[in-house]
Amino acid sequence: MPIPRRMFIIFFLIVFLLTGCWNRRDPELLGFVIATGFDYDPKTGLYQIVIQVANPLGSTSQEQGGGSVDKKPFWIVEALGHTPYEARENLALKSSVEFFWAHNSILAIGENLARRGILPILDLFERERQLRIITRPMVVEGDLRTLLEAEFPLEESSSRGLWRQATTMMFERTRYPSTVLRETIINLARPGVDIMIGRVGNIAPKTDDSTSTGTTPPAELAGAAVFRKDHMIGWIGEREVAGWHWVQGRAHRATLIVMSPLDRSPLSVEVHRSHAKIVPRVQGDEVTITVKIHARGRMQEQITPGDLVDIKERHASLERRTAAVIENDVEMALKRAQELNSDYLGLGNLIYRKLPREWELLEPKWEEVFPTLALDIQAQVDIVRAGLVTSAPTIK
Amino acid sequence: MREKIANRQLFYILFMMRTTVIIAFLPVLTTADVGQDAWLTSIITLFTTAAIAILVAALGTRFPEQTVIEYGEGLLGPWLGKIPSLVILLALLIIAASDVRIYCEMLVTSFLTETPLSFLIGTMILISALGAQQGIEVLARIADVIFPLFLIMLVSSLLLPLPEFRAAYLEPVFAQGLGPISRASVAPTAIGAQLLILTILIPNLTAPRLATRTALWATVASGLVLIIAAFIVVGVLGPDLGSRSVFPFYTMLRSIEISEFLQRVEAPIIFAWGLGVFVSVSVIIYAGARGFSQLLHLKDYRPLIMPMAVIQGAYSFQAYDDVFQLLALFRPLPVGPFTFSWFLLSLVPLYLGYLYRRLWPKKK
Repeated sequence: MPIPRRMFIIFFLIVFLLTGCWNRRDPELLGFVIATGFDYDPKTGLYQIVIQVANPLGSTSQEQGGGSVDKKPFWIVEALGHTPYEARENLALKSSVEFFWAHNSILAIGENLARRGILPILDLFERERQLRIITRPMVVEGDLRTLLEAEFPLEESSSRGLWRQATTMMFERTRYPSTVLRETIINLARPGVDIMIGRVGNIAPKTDDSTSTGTTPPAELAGAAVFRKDHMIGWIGEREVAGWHWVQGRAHRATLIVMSPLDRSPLSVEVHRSHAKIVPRVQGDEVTITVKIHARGRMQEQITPGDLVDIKERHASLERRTAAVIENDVEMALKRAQELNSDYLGLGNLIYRKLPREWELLEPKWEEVFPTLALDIQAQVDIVRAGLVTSAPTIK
Repeated sequence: MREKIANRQLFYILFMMRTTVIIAFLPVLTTADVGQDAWLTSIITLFTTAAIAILVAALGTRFPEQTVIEYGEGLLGPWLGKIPSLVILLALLIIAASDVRIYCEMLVTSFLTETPLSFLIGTMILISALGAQQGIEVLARIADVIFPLFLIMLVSSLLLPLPEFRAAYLEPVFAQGLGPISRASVAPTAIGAQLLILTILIPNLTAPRLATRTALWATVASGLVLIIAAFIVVGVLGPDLGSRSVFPFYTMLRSIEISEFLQRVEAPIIFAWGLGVFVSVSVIIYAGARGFSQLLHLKDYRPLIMPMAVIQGAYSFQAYDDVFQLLALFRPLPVGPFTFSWFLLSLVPLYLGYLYRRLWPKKK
């Protein structure tokens, strides 16, 4: 079938659309930003941005022939601006490539900025088309630049290292709240809940001796920064974060240290499934919240000999003691929340969700009610397994 | 001889036409202050849209061999009868133009930030017009091909975000009362005006008398998608971020993250959306050209397609100065009365005329 001339011309014209990326934005000309840090300088009133850019010249270390230039696999650039966006655009003055932000996976927030208010950053991340709200936010106790420059012994960049560490923490322990920026944005808008972002601390300065096997861990992800509205008001510790995990039902795996019912020596119980049921009751200004936590776990360790699980009473006692640890975690989380008057556990939100009419009356005075709130915490733990043996080695 | 399409193909066309709007800006969530109860609004919308489908299709099935232009003249006389037809043609023009505009705004906002809008609209309309030139049978076969692809992408983009779904974001249910819920149902109901396309397509069906059933199936299917989409979008983004988003469905897809390897999966659904827009716009251009040719008693509709396309493109480009005007149109107040006037000027006179003819039949 002969193609009509008209169609031929149209098809011919389409060829012009196949010339590749618009405005020569080819991947090799872009600088891929993999981590972003923001801070605020109260003296100058300027926002500071620090970014980590992947450097393709550095990652191929085993290049054959030629004078191989020893380049780092990433580059750290910083800039200042009156707004976060301006700071970001000011980076262009210092770079030979155009930055591409879609691969940014970490948002490190400096403590100064967190205390001033993070709304400008949240706006930037939800508005800008390349940035994403699945970025992992963390508040940095220490210097942003040092964190991004830190050498993660098992990863090629600190961005990758922090991302993996946050993800691993989510599945391994309950000491760091691994959240994405989307949750921060959502919780900021929900009534009766304050936001909380994980903390990065103990940042080790970079050592020149990178061949040493004893490199200090570059950073520790533990605890969290707690906010009221969009500004940070304090740090909370690891146990409080664990309490938050229990209340939210987000604990994937937790290791609890329990005193043995036999001789009060410590032993470890690993909880690998937990579920929380929270019921609020409101009568006038009287608010009572019942938190029922049900967890299943296994005994992972016993450092003194003796039979713990075969004898019913001891088994039950062990379970009660484990439950008490969980209850203490929640109690500590609540106490700290009341100290800071920041409802990061979302108890107000619980009332808003379950008892919306009561919340309407309660909301204006929530700041007064919250610090006096008492929780009825009932944890129940089933220890269902004890590993491959039933008791510790016998000594005769 | 009249071109024929199967009722199944009409179902595909209507389904894609209606679902692209959901993917575009999820009107139940973004046009009013309903928040987490958007899915309740979607349920109401399902019924109101079904009512529109019945009203539009029921009249058409009385005249299985005629388009609204033909039976309109029969019912209301040669001059008065042109009014409903003109209103319907205008309504279809506005719907298709807005469809294209929303899609192109999306592309300019998120993917092709420096491409001129006129170029995108022009390309989109040109391709649709080329499709319309081939006739409705070809378009229906294209719908046949695209539909499975469309469905797969739609279903997968509703399933992938599920790990991020939190039922808590949907609570409290029904706390604000009926006011916001009904306000939010205005715009999605008004978008039901798309079903006016039936008045022209019914005579092309292989089984025109079953048109009501087909239209209802399409309405129910797309209504269910709307309910599920409203449910999932709010469960992933929360009511606040969801309703502040210009394209909530797209924003939701951007927050998909399944482990490390499955991220940035929003492109496929944007393609599906584009394909859906292409089908609906070319069907509307076809219907418009054919309707117009009947209005002017022309033998062939084909010469009208290119001029129609130019008008479409110009309207799409000129009608809205910026994206804010486009969004403002869908607030309950302008869009409700606006589309209601379409029904008032088209369906109401036709039904009155029909009633009149039934009660006082003309003597032969």
